[in-house]
Amino acid sequence: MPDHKPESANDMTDSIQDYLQNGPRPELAEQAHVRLLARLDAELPPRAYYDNVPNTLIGDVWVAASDQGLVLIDFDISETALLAVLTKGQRYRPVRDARRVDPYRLAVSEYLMGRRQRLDLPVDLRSLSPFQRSVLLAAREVPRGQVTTYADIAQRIGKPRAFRAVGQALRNNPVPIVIPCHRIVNSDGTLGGYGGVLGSQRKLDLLKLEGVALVG
Amino acid sequence: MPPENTAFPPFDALVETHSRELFSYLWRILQNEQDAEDCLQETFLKAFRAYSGLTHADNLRAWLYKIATNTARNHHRRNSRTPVESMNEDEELGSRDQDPAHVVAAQLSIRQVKQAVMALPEKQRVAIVLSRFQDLPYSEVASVMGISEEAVRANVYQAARKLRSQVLAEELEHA
Repeated sequence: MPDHKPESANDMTDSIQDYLQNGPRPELAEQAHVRLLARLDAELPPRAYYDNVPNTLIGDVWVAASDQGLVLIDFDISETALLAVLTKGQRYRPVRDARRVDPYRLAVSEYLMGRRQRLDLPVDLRSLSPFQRSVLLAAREVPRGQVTTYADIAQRIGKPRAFRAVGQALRNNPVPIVIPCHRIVNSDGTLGGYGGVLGSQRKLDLLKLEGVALVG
Repeated sequence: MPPENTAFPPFDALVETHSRELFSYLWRILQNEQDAEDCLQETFLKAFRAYSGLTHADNLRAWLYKIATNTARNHHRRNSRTPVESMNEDEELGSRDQDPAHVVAAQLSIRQVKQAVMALPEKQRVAIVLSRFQDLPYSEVASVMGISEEAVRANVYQAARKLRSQVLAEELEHA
């Protein structure tokens, strides 16, 4: 096998060397970049801007929003896990951008410190099924300081026998706290499930924050 | 989706970091602005679809180069145009260079340079552009092209040799 020592750059003539070395004019690359972004915006899933709210009552809370509203609130997970949730099924293109989600971070932070009573933030539930949306919007009507049951939510959406599906829809609530699925409990008065490794404890913390008197 | 321990940057960060360099790369191997731009867009659309299926984030730059190279190859086969007629087409190169020893080379026009570059076999063109002008180490060029490092070296060597002889032929013609 002959030894193909790379020849030095000047073994090509200077004109080709210069021409290739210089490459396209920088404005061309810049214009191509701008048109690329426009094409990606037109053809790829929408952007979801995200950042976290550190050290709240329930730990670090991640907040993600599209141009239309909140798409995800999550806690007790790493950034990588958050990105996995956002990109699952290619629903969103995540972009970490504190400024874009500042209003949401501030509101959530104040709420969890007990300095704010209501969380009337816009939510973007377009990626959900109509059933799931109807369950979440009904759950949103349960006021602070009160709890209700899965069966009651099933009643409210006109599907009284669907309480198990209601439970499932609430377990998959993408925007907890803002849509207060923690206010929905079992008919026998037990707490019922909640997301994350510290699920029930988180649910309890939120209900206590909202002044719900818990027995037992 | 990616395992917990590897850091996958958000897709938009990849676009921001690599789009300009990939455009330069595509421009260099295709010698046509419009083709380079079409392939750039196609490269990132393909990359997005594949991104969530990646299992490791070791060398995303080389991964993007690989997609760009395949895209350019298909584009070139499908749609083989001659290098674009740019406004500066007949501009002489090397006009800054007053050294009489370079005067003959300086008389090559952009058209001739483009023809010389495009006359290279695809593997040689890709190899020389990646290693000499995109500054990828041989190991990465090998991974982008799916050939051995030794084969990369051979392709770069052949490309340089051909460009030189091509240019010498032009020079003789114009002598």
